[in-house]
Amino acid sequence: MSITLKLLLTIFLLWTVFVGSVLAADTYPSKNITLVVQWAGGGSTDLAARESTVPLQKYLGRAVVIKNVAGGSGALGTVEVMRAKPDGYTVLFSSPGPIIVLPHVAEVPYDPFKDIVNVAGLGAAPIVILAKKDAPYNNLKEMDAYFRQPGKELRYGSAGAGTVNHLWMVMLSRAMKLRMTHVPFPHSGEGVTNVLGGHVDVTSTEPITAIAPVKEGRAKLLAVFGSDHIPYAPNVQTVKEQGYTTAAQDLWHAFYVPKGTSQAIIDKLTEAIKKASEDPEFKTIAAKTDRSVKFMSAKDFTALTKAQSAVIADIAKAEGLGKK
Amino acid sequence: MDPVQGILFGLGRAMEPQTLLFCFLGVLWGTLIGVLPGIGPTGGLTILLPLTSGMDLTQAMVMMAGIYYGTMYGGSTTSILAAVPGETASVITVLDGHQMAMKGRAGAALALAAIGSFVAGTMAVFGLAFLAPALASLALDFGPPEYFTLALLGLSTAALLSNVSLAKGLSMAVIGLMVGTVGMSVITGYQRYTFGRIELISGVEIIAVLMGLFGVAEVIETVAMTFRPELRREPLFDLRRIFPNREETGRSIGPMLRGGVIGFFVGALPGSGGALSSYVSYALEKKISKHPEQFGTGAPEGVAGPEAANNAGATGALVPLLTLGVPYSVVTAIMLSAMVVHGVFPSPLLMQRSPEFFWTVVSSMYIGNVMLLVLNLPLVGVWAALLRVPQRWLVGLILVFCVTGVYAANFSRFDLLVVTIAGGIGVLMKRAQLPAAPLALGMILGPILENALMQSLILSHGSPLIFVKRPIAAVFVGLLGVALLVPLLQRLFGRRVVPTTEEEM
Amino acid sequence: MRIVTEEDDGYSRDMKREKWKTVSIDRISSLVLLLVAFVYTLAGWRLPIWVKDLPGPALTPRILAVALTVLAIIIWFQAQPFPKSGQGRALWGRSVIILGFLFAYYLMLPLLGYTLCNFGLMLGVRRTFEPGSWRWDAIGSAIIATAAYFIFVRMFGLSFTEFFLWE
Repeated sequence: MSITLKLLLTIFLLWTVFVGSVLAADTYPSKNITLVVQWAGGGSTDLAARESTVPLQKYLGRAVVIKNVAGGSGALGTVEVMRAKPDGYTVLFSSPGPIIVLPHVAEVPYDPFKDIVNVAGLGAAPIVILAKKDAPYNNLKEMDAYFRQPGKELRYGSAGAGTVNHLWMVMLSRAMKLRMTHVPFPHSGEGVTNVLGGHVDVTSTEPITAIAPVKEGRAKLLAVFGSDHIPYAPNVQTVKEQGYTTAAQDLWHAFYVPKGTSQAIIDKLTEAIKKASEDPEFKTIAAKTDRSVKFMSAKDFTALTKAQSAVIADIAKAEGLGKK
Repeated sequence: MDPVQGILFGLGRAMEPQTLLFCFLGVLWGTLIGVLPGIGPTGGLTILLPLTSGMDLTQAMVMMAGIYYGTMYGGSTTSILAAVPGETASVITVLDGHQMAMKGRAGAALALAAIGSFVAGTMAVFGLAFLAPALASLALDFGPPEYFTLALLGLSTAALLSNVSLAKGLSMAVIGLMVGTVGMSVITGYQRYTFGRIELISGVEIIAVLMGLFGVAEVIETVAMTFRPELRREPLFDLRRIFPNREETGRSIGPMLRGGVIGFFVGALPGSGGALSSYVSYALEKKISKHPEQFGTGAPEGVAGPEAANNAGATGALVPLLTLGVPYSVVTAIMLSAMVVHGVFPSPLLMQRSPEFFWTVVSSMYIGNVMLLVLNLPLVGVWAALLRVPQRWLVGLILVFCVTGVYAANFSRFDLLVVTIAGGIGVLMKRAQLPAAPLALGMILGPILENALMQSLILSHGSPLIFVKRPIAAVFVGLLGVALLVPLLQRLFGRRVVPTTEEEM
Repeated sequence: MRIVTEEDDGYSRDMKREKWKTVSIDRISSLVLLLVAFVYTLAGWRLPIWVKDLPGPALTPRILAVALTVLAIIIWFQAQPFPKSGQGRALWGRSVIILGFLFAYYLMLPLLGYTLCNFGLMLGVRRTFEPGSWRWDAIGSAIIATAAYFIFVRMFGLSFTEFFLWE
């Protein structure tokens, strides 16, 4: 082949590659998008994911289909996205656990900061601290004072050792310098019933699990982890407002794509998610389940998660939540 | 409004065409899902979830509840026909149900399951309507020590599940408990026996194990024994012969009623659901039966009782949801989210606060049970006719079914490996006459048992005395002691209590 | 009139072999259970029984292993002398073959897809158990595999995606 021909061929090939990727980004999305949820249907993450598909579909112009890949405490879903094609059609909707907690307590085949790329963070999913209605303390300070008395033991029922609920409470007890007997339960629901039954004193859980007993008058909230107040209990102060600074900030949900996805596609997704977070309908629906949908850019979000992850690594080691 | 007004109101609302339609769709879908082993109510609900978001709350609840107990009706079908348990709640039905099918009484077994489910389901609906608040308060008194002792009692029924020696039955239960320890422990956060595989972090999938131990092993037994008992052909159109005869029906009425009561109360305990109810019912029926040795060879009580119990248990499991607003399973969690999003809050006062919702849902649950009976009874003939498929094709079909079901449970390829291994183990167990039902019980109870034990020990700072210091737990310990000591004493004085295999001379 | 020898203690020679066989089956079970308890404990050896004055992850496993050992010993001593007759002989070869097909299914599913794997499984079982003619066995298996595809994938919406051929 003559040199000219080779040159033309090379230019042509480069052109197709370049145009190809741009075109791909340009026409993205051209088919349905799969949103992978790491848990089985019905949980709070699944619910949040389903709620978010509505505005996303509006702003992306394509159907967003939920795929539940449960197992391994969220690891399997994460792995599914990690191994997917980086074409922007498989997106992970992640809860905090698999990203900032799981790698410290289990052998997982992914690095949450290297194998998947964060697109954006969404929202704040607060955690509330719940006690029985007739407990002799109404907020953290009173609780602190009460359990410092000799012979009194703070029994805390969690949603499982190593869950975010548990770790957040651990952070608090360290900030309060208060000893706590941790009684783990398999899900947050059991923690709540055990509080109602008097078998443990407090529990930390998602607002939606607590809403019924609180509205009903059988239980009360002592505090909220996060920056916003809970709509159905607006007088309950946040942990920070009550004077305890912890690294325990809001929990969140976040969107991730596989490593290698082109920046153009990521930008499109980011834009859609941002618009979704500002969508008034979406905000109203989320508020009903006591979430806010604050948008966090990938940069801010990654910084936040890295910080949280570091704190948790610390705690995990201290609490003896070992790997294997 | 008082109950009578409530029921009338509810019935009126429940009979509205649209509500009826959703109820029917729910139970139909539930039955179909229930027949397919492996999916169960969770999967069934998730598939239909998108539909429910736009619907009126009451109608959505009606449909979801329909799917939920519909699956309990369908689950017994594969257990009886092919010895493949569709869900954990259907394992017990395999024991006598499949034996009845082998004797040519598959239609009778299926019909008894359907009728029993209806009777118990109806009883449970009334229980739900009137007893729910009181039950909820009682259930709150159950803390970890109570759960532990109760689960231990449940485990002791393992002895009654088969006709082999107590030691064999219990050893299988222990193995089941051991399999249950695989995975990341909720209590300690440690991973146990996972060997680095992420699929094992949440433990071994019980459906895969059940399908292997029961379904695959049964198929292999059929294929690989030189002598097979001939599957008796079902009469095709002779309704009188397909449906239960007088004796079978007579023997089943008591178990159905008892199953309904037991099932409802056991199911109302937070965390248990239908499976445990069926085990308890089976053990009870065997204990009080005049012919306990028939259990395991096709006793109708062994089908009617447990099937009634698991249906009542499913309804009972709605008690903690509706009265405390605390969901214990994915199914109830979905229902809870739906309710909350629409502004209806579960509480013991739900009856007073949102009477329209409550009574409509309750009434349509009753109607749903009727629909299920009407749906399933004619199908009995159809299902039974399936057994006429020549065995050489049937076995392959069952395997395909099993594999599909296992994969449908979790979409995990690893589970297919589990099924294969469980199948191999199941075959060995059959050859050694080691019963599989206690193993299933061990797997079901394992997590409950261990979690409760650990939680109790944490609360008591390591002292096992907590189990006798608390009144309810102490009662259970007492019962346990009686249950264990009585057979021991009887044996010491010469009387055999546990039937052994008939000696042939 | 039967000729009585010293060996003859009321049982015929066949039944004596059967007696030995079942006693040994039960004894084999007992040994296997002991092995299971042993391996189970070994695999969990590094887990702590007690963690900082709280019960640890090895507590229940140890208890279970002890219970299993005790039960296994009881089974050893309780070994029954007579088998249940009427079962016929066991064809171990066939059992292994069927399990082999299932294992192959597990391996092949991502490569061949649901429909083809079902076809393979059905055909394999047909050829092992009362095989008919190759043609009809294959045709029947194909029909069933296709039907399974339509029912479970199309109707029920189960997705076996990530696979190569026909979901």
